[in-house]
Amino acid sequence: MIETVFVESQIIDHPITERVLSCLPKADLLNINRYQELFNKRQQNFRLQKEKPALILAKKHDNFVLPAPSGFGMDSQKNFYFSHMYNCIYDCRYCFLQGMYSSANYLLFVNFEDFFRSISETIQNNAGSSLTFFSGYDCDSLAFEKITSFAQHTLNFFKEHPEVEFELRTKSVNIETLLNLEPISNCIVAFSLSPESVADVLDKKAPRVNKRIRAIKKLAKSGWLVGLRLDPLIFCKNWKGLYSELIEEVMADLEIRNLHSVSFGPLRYPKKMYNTIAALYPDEKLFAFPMQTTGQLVSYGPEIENEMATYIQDELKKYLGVDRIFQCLI
Amino acid sequence: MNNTNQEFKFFWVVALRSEANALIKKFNLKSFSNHCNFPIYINRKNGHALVISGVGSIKSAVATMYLNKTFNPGQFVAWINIGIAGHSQGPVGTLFQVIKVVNNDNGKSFFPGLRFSKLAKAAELYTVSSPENEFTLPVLYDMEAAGFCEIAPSLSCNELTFVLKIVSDTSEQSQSLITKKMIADLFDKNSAMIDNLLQAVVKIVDRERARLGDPIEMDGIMCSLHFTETNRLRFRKIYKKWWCLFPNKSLADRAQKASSAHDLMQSMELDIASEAQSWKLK
Repeated sequence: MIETVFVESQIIDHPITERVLSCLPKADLLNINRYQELFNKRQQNFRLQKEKPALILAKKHDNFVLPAPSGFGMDSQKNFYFSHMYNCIYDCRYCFLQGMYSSANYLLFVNFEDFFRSISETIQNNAGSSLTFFSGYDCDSLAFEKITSFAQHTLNFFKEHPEVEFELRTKSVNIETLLNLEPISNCIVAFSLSPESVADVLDKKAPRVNKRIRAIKKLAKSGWLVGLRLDPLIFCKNWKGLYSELIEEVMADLEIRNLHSVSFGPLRYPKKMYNTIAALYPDEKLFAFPMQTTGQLVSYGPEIENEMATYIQDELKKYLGVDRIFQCLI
Repeated sequence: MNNTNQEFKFFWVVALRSEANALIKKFNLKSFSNHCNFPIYINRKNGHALVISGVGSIKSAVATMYLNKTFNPGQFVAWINIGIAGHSQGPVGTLFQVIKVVNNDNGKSFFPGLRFSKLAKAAELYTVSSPENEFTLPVLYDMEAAGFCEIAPSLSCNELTFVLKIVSDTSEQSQSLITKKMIADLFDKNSAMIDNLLQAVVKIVDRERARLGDPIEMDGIMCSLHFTETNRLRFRKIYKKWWCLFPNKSLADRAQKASSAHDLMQSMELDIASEAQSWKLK
């Protein structure tokens, strides 16, 4: 439960601000000038803050839409991402957001309209190219839906732009908004998944994997395009068996024609980010693993990565064609 | 002077002698020193140390640094600025947890402490350089917190820096009515709430110490073998990984037999690598 909300004075009357505040009537409300004065402060203790994150409502002024890192995405010519929110209500141990920001507070940009304007411009500027837009890179796209209505706004926007694809990345099972809408043919609801026993240890505060799988099947059955994101692949004892079980479980009774794609990616971090995250969890076995450092990248190393990639790909091929299987390498 | 003060958990910075007296009595503190016009009181048994800063933001900042320099307590302690403050509405006697502090002189803001919403009401506070009588904003007013907040987070962390204020005067009740007796009464009235807040704080301090502090065995090993400065850092990292995997094993015997720090670290890395193929996540 959010106990404290900080609001930039300039957006106090914004309709999204009003909506969010009406959902949090018991929270303490304080005005700030700019979110940076709070969010970017030094000497914040990420772990402690993560126990009781405050919500910051702010206006984003620029960089609404950014090119996705190379290796991210499927087969579009150009991939872009946008982040209406920084930080996530879940607390997954491997999440790169822990090394990205010094604050664990949730930062929500309420000026959705400026994001949509910028996306429109990007579409116009790239006419003729196949484009995919991703949401859920710096936050979970659905987890906050009851408070923000972000997904509803965004889906309505992309419904009017059938020439591009939109992927909404999530671990949330909060799918009522989607089930209440007619499926949109250019929108993919992509779920991050790990084997149940892995997620039980690492995906803190996130919905259990069986619930996510149920949500995936429900959406696919109701006509939504769904994506499976086995990302990051976690190396552990009996990983082959665990991933095989996961893939088998999710594919059983799944409306395969509505499965847009499956992607998988290795556990990789920039060196500095890895050191930051590992220092946050000296008692976490995930970070005690003898990782390999190659240049500025920390990973399991090519041997494990390749073995996992080959195995996962082979398992997936049992259920669908290679045209729907992608390896992400960022 | 004792420079290894793991026993201290709470570092108090207060402006006035009368505020300090309430805490000295409450925590049974004894005089430790009285240099530089910053009297220090401590009780090692219950983990409290207190400095009287005098009035003003700069004095508060300097006193905070002085207390830190005196005891060098490290990262895992709570820094608390407590005192009386003015408020437009009050009521007098209400204790607030301040979650935003604004330095009225330069507009700089601070956001101290992990929030304890079930224990104390939240408030914004303006630190002013002369006593406030107008109370133009619905906030608290004091003369120290901004200076304290400028320094304390860098000694521990922002989430273990707390500002607690008790309303002593309002637009209805002038500060000229404040007496030593009144301050003592205000602290007495809020004694239980202060205790509750400290209980919540100490849980965090203990947890952070256990989570991030160095295992006791590590210091002994670093004394028994020669480590270069680079190797110390490396050993600290390797040891924590090793300890995460083998929490019930001791390294002391092996360290005694090791011919060098390098050999010891290499054997630890081999231990870790040997677990890789059957890696358990918990």
